[in-house]
Amino acid sequence: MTEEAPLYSVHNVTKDFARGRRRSVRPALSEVSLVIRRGEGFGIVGESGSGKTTLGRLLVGFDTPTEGEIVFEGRAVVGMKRAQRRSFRQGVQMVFQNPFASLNPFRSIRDTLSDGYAHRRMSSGERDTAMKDLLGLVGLHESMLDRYPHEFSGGQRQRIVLARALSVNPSVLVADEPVSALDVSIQAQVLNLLNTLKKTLGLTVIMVTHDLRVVNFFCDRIAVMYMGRLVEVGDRDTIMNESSHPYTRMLISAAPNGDPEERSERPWVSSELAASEPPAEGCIFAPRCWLRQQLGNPEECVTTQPRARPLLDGPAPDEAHLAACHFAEDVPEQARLAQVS
Amino acid sequence: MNTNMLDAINAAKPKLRRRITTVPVGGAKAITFQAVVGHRRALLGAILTAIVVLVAVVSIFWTPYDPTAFKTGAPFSPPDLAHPMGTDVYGRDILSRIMAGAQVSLTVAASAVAAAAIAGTVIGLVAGFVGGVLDLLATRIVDIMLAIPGLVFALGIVALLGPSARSVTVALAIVYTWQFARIVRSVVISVRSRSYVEAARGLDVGPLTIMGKDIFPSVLPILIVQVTTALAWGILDEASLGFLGLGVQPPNPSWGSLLIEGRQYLYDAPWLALGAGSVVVVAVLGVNFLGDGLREIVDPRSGRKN
Amino acid sequence: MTEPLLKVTGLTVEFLGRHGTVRAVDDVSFTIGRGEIIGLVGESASGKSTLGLALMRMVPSPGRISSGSISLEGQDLAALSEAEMRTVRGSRISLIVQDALATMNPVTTIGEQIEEVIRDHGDRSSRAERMTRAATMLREVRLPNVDQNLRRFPHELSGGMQQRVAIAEGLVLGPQVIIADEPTTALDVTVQAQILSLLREICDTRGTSIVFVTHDLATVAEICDRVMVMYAGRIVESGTVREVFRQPAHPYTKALLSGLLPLAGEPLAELDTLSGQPPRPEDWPTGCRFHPRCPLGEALDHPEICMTDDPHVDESQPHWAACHFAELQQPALTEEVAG
Repeated sequence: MTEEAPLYSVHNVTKDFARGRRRSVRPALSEVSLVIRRGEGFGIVGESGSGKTTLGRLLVGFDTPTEGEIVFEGRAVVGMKRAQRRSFRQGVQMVFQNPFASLNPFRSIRDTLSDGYAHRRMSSGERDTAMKDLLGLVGLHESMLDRYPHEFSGGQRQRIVLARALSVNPSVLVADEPVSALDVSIQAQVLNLLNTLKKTLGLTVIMVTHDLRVVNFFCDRIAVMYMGRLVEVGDRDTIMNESSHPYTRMLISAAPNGDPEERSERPWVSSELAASEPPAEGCIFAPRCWLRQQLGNPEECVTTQPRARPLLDGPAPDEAHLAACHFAEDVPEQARLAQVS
Repeated sequence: MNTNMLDAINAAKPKLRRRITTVPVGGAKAITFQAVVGHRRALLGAILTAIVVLVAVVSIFWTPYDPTAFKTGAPFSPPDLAHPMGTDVYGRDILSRIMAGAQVSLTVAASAVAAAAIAGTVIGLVAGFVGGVLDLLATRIVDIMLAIPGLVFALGIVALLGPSARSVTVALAIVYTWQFARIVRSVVISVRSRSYVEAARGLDVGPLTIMGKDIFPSVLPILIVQVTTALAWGILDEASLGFLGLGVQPPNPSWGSLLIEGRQYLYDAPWLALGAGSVVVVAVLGVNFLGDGLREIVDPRSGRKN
Repeated sequence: MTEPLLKVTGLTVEFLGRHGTVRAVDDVSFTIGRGEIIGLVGESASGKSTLGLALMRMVPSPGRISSGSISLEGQDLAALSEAEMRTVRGSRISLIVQDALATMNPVTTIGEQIEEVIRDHGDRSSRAERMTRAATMLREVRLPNVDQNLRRFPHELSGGMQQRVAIAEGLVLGPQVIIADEPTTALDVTVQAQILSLLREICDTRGTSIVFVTHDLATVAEICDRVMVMYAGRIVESGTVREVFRQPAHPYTKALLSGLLPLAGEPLAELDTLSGQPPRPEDWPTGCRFHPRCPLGEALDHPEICMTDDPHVDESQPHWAACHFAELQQPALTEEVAG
């Protein structure tokens, strides 16, 4: 990668949905910092309550951070001028999880798609052509323009949602669980389409999901979230195969590997049931952490909140690989030990 | 009673719920001509309402006698061929007066409800969509207005404006507005956070367009139901205010004023009160049936039953 | 093999719809042995959940079992009266669903929920004894802090704990068969991992059999012994998990397996896809119901037999597929066809 300015830089962002002066003990999102590069597939993964959806909505501008700053193409998203705001809004589009709720049942496809052309001077003929091209782009026939959402299946609706998002020529798509509501045989169609669009249109696609298989297929870089915090971010290969955070290791090993010959042994997966509340000052993952146990419960884990920091001493030094663990450098080695025992 | 059956029902529940939540219409089913014809109560209501409206319309052009003319027959003559509903103390023809009264009653009720529906929808849409302090303020005002007994409030307004058909219309419109505002707001709140509304915002579509194109269509079916219910109340309330002497002034008839006249002679000429009373009952029943039927048709939880 | 625990023969479930009768489950036969976990995999509208409910005799109206038998240790459940069936449900065959919370009474405590199940099946012991039994059961499914949680209400528990309570409720009467309909779909992966190993353990220690209904092949690979793939109301392939995963014989199974994206290693450049979408019961295709979407049929230039004839299968075989050209799916032969 060159020294090009990143598309997004997220600086120390916290989002607390609590109203008024009182702050929640654990905000939806705490002190998250990361960068997203132009043209990459960026995955944000986590379990429920990890804050992944909140982060996604902040990136689209649906919500604003309580603290911290999100910079898009060199400009802070909060406090943009009117014209800048419009170009940001249209430049970043969202694809939603539930294709049944993301299309207005009372509006025809033509009517829905026309929203994207509201601010452009076009003759109705030009607009018509543009809409037909758009449908072609997402693999639908132009005759579908005058139909209504209920006439379409989930996969087709998700294509229409994509067409609507693309109608304003965005440079970024934020996709919140774009395939998890779809049938298995339809998921592949939509993922392929997203991949093609990303390549042909040069889109940056930010995928928010719980599905590790999907991020492994789709994303160039992956951020892992846990309880509102960023625990690790790095290249796909690093995160999926050589992770340096005990939570990431646990998450990946918890997913069934899909091979009946090799049923997953899960030495690291700890119960969410037995876990006590995370310490107020220490690491949020400490109560469930296998590494902490293995290292003999070091004091640091419960006294200091680890910050996501670049890993330069590890086996593969990388500026852009961050992990929020005091003992991140020990993770690969300890993981091997854990598996042996 | 039996937990095994409960188990069975329970187990079937999540499936049902999944099916319901995927009903693709914005929280309400569409009202179609076929649905109304297929629904027995809605159909009956529609027919009764249509008859009452027809009578009111006919009365503009034709009534058997001049409704205000004295001595069309002998005073207090009971129903006969010449006067199918009898005559009153001045010998005026009751049927003609009821028909002319329908005009007044229906106009007052319909105008009041229309005004209230428009005002309430605007308040509800804006409060629900904009949210924040505006919503808080609007909700409080609506709560306060709904806490005041409607008829008492209407009485006060009519007393202030002086008794006339117009005062009654204004008073009822003010009283009904809040109910509309509340219902519309609740629908807006539930629709506001849907993905398609967010998507429209993300495309930088203006708030007025979003309200008109993405939110209002979901409000409409429920609004129609509320309008019919309010109409029934409007007819009753107009009659009540007329009965208290606050509506149309004599000698012009309205259903309320006919009732008050009839009351004085309840023992000697029961047909006076009975005629006006039964027309009110039929009209209110008709509109209520229609409203109930429409509500069932619109309700996504209702099956395709009658 | 010894005498199977559950033997289903020719089971057909019909729904009376607006467009006449539709068959959601069409002539399905299979067997389950003791302590076996059998996966029932399919997409939406495949009939997998309806089949699960049919085994419980709980097909929601206007559906009904129109023919076939469900023989549990030689007793035909399909022929029982509703009253007789009530004594079987829960005690010999029970159901666990995806949305555990929805099946629980929100105003009774966890302990009472389970105590009630015991009482309603004619247990005449004292309430205290029944409560003890409930607590023991909850410990067995490893609910933490049982003594406290017995007195809590369903909504106060996490999703994983709710699912454990639901499993305890399904298990407390010691049924021989459990129908588990997407029991882990709504759960986080780390919680799912634990529920799966709990289910596996229950089968191993108690000899309970599980019909595991799911859309997720990865979980099937994880805990099932055998798998049945359903498409359009029929079972299209059946066999041991190992064989079906190693050598899928039906093109549909093959497509589903290729849709199971790898977790590790290099990502694929492009995914194989099936065209179209799963059909609904009211418009099932003629002949082989998969033929309009079948990649094998396309490779063979749409043989007529696929559109006209139902593929016949020998259900006595340990591994079978309902495809006219099942043999062609063997790896060596497929290459030939493609070439």
